[in-house]
Amino acid sequence: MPIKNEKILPALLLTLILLSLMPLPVRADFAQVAIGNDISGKVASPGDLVEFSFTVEKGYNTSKSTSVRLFIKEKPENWTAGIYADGNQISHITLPEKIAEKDLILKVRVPEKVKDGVYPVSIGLKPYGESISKLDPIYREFAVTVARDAMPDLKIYSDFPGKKTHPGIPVRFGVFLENKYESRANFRINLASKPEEWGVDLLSKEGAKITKLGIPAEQNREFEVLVNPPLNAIAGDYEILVAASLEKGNQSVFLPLSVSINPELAKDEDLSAYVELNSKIVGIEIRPEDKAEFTVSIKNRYDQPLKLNLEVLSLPKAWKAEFIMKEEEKGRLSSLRLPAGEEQEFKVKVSPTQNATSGLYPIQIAAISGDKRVSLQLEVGINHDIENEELFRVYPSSSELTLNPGGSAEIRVNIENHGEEELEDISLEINTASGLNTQIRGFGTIEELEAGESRSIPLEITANANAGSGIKEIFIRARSDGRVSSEKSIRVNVEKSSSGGLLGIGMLGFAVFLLVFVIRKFGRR
Amino acid sequence: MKKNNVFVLAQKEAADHLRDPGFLVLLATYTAIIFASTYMYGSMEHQNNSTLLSSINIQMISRFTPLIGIVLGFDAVVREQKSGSLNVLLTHPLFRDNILAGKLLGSMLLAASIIIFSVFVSVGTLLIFFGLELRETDLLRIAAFTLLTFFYVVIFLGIAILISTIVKEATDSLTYNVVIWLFICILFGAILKTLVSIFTGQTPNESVLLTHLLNLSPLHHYGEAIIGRADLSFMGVNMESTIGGIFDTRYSLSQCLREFRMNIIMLILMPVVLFIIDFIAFLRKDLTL
Amino acid sequence: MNMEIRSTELEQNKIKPRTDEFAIETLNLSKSFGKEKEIRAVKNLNLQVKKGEVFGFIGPNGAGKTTTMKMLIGLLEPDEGSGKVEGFDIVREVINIREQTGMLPEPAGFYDNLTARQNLRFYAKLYNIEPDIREKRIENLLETVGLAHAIEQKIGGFSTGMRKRFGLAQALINEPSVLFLDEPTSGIDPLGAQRMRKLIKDLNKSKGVTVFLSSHSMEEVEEICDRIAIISKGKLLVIGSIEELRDIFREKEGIHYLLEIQELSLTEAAKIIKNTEGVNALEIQDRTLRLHAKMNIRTEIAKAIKKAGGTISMFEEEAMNLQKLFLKIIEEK
Repeated sequence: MPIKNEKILPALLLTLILLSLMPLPVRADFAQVAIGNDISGKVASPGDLVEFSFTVEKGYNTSKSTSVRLFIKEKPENWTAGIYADGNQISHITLPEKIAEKDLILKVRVPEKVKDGVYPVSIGLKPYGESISKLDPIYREFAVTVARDAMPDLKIYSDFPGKKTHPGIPVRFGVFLENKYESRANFRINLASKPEEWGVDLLSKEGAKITKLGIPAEQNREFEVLVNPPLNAIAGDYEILVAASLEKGNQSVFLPLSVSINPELAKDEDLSAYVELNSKIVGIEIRPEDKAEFTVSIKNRYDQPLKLNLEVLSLPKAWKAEFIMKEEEKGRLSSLRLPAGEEQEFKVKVSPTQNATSGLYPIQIAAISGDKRVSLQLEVGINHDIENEELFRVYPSSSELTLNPGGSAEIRVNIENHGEEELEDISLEINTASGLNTQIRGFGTIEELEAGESRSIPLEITANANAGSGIKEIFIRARSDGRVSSEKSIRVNVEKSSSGGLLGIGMLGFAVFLLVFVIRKFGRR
Repeated sequence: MKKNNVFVLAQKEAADHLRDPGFLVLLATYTAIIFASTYMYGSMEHQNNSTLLSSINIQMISRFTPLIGIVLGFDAVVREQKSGSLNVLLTHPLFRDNILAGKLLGSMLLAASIIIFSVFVSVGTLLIFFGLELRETDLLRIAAFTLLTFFYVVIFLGIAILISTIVKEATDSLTYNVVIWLFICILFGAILKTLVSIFTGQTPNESVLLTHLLNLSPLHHYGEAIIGRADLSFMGVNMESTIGGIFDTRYSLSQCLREFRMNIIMLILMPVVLFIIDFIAFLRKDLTL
Repeated sequence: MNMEIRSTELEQNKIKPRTDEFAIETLNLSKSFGKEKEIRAVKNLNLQVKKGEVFGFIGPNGAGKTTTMKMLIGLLEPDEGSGKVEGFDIVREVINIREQTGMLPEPAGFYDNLTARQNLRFYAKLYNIEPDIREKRIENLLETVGLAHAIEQKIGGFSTGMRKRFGLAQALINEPSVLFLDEPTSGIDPLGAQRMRKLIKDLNKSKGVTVFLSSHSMEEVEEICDRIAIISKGKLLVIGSIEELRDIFREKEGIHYLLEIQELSLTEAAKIIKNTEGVNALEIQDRTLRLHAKMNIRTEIAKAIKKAGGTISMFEEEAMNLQKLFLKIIEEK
């Protein structure tokens, strides 16, 4: 446990000195009243309320009723002090015949802004009344030592300070903080140390993150420490150190919590503890003819591979939902095997029915392993008012490419008919930047494209030899009779090939070498 | 027996050319022509294929490269015979065929060097100036082109050596060679067109006879194999095949080679046949004075 | 007959090195040209050239000298007959022959655009000669033929004489054992020719190279050749040493003697000699008697003069004009 010895030692020393200086219980034997007290010095933090208990006793063998005036004789500037009996501040007390003594409390409020040091507070007692023979007041001095470094008087503990968990699975500790002061105090709680990459939160019972606790005198308060070990945590024992200190104090008391990582899967844990099913976009609004595509990521937080089946749990009637690998259009995804800690993205393609009415439709998908599942809800909004031009679309297979002058690349342009009618005589209209050439390979036009069908056309883009460097844009759209698709652009970055230049120099070098070689080898006589 | 002697003769033949100022001027001129035409073509826009390949000016190469073969071969035999050095050479331990083999080998070696040199200079320049990309397919096609150009040149070398074996004077040999060059590389298509239309009355471009007759020309095979043009001669026959020769990157190289295999076979066969004729002519001739 | 036996012996000893008395030998070597083979360049030529000798092959232009040489080094194939050079068959082992021989053909051309060194280097490469040996040999050869100063000069600038000498160096590049020289002095001035002849003789002497040279000049052949063959219209007319040729001449033409006699009048002496057997003709020139005899009759004449009391102060055989002889032989046949 890392204890800040440098601060605590002088504080202990100081306390020790003060205690040794503390006057022993004094009795004014021959007086009518006497003050008895056990503790005349206390250590406090700024803002603290320091309480000293003392008793006022009648004098030796006196049974008469005695009255005593109580007053603060001396206190540091800006300090407040008062004498209390049974919770009320008093200035006089009368000890009846039958009562020999009375317990009183001197409460001293330490101001916030005060330097560390020893501050004396003196009280005075002046008996009065007929039976008083000696009227000299009695003084009693108390000392408040303001020490910010003083060890706070608190206790922090947990019923179960050691727990076992799995990588990626959070564990909770109930921690109690006990105020051992006689008065209510505010405590600061914080995390002194934790294993790297671990998530640790200090939470109230209600789940709010907390940093301070206010606790009545001599009571305790429970709070929670939520420990979230990372997925890659290796089996072993880890320690989390929770520190508590007085709000104003510098010294902390520590509670070590130990977490043992056990990579074995607990049978009763929910699958969500191990598998994250997530999508950044959970709601898409489309026309009923269109398809909604959600990109969903699935992550295995467990340290062993998991085989997961993908299923659609709920779907509006007659709708279709499919799982598709990100890159591939063909083939449907039904299950996957995720290595430990890996994340995989896939698409969920939702096809509503053509006659779906406007509205919001939830789709529930799940990853299932055995009899456990993690689910994710997605929402598809059907909106008939979305622009109609999207019924007819072009999609270039890549929207950016880099070419060397003289180089060429072939891309595919996908023409999709999302409408309900067949499209005829579809041609691509290409707007080329200077220095670039495009050539449609194969047949230039598509005679007809059924509703819902798509066709891809290979398009070769060539950069001229003299094309200047820089980014040039090619705009592509498809036209069918009167209909025109929206325009898609392909950005072509023309870069002079430095490797080509080097190769060129190499070739020139070789040519010269060849000439020299031939002349040297064959030119001699 | 003494294979070594073939190489000694080949080396001497090569050295003779390399030390010949006229030959060196021709080499420089040729490289300059190829370089300039490649550079100009390179800066033009090309619709099809690889820019790099399109930049190689086949028309120019097909017309001027044969001159290399002619220069290398036109006086190969007649010069030695005339000077009497052949007379002396024959008294040394070598066979007659060694002499011709050495001359052919030396000249072929130089021809290959010149072609490779000019191709490397041109392509290298294109790469440096235009920052073109050299793809593997381009490289292979350039290699194939270089090889075919070599065979094409060797055809003219064979012709030149044959003429130089037959005639009595080097100047005659040069004249005949230039005439043959003019006929094959410049005028063949135009003459053929004229003749065919005179004798058949058909439009030349549609005549089957014309396509048959074109097969006689090495230029035809060369042009067709490399860029798919049936005739590259001046005002020649304007016919193109669907595949633009081995330079047509729309098709794989093996497809191109298959498509034009007849042309390629002819380009290889022609020099072989010419060489055989060269040897026969040389061996039958009384070379001594 | 004898020849055939030798040739079969040679057949059996094919493994190199073949040692034989003869560097060159031919048997019934024949070659014709023309469509119908109507031009007979060489007819049944039988030759034997000994190792280390300088063999002259003379005849008029078109006699078949060059054709014979070409056949000997495998440039032409004989129609009939066979031949061997250094034991190698002239048809089947041409390359071996060329490895062992050098030839200066006529006409000979070299690479005018190359220097003397570069030319020789090229020929040397054809024999796979090691570069360091090669360069040394090139320098030595050019030194030998007196062209050391022109080693780095282009052949194109050489005079005819220099070309001929360079041609000789070229023929020697492989250190041949047999050297064929086709009219080595043709086209050069007398001084140059003399120098060339000396060179050939020296080569033959110092290196033992068999030299087979053709010429149409009897004088040249007479000067350097050990043996001579005369050929005309493809036929070998005469073969032998100079002396043998002379004997043939004597046999054919008789001998001219010149006599000076003392103590006896010329007319008397003439009478006595006239009566000697074998004397064909006699004439008196001043104080000298010139007589023509069918054969050698020196002793008979000497005896007869002595008997008559005369003293012979001079008795000489008149110098024979081989050139005349050569022409005569050719005319005759």
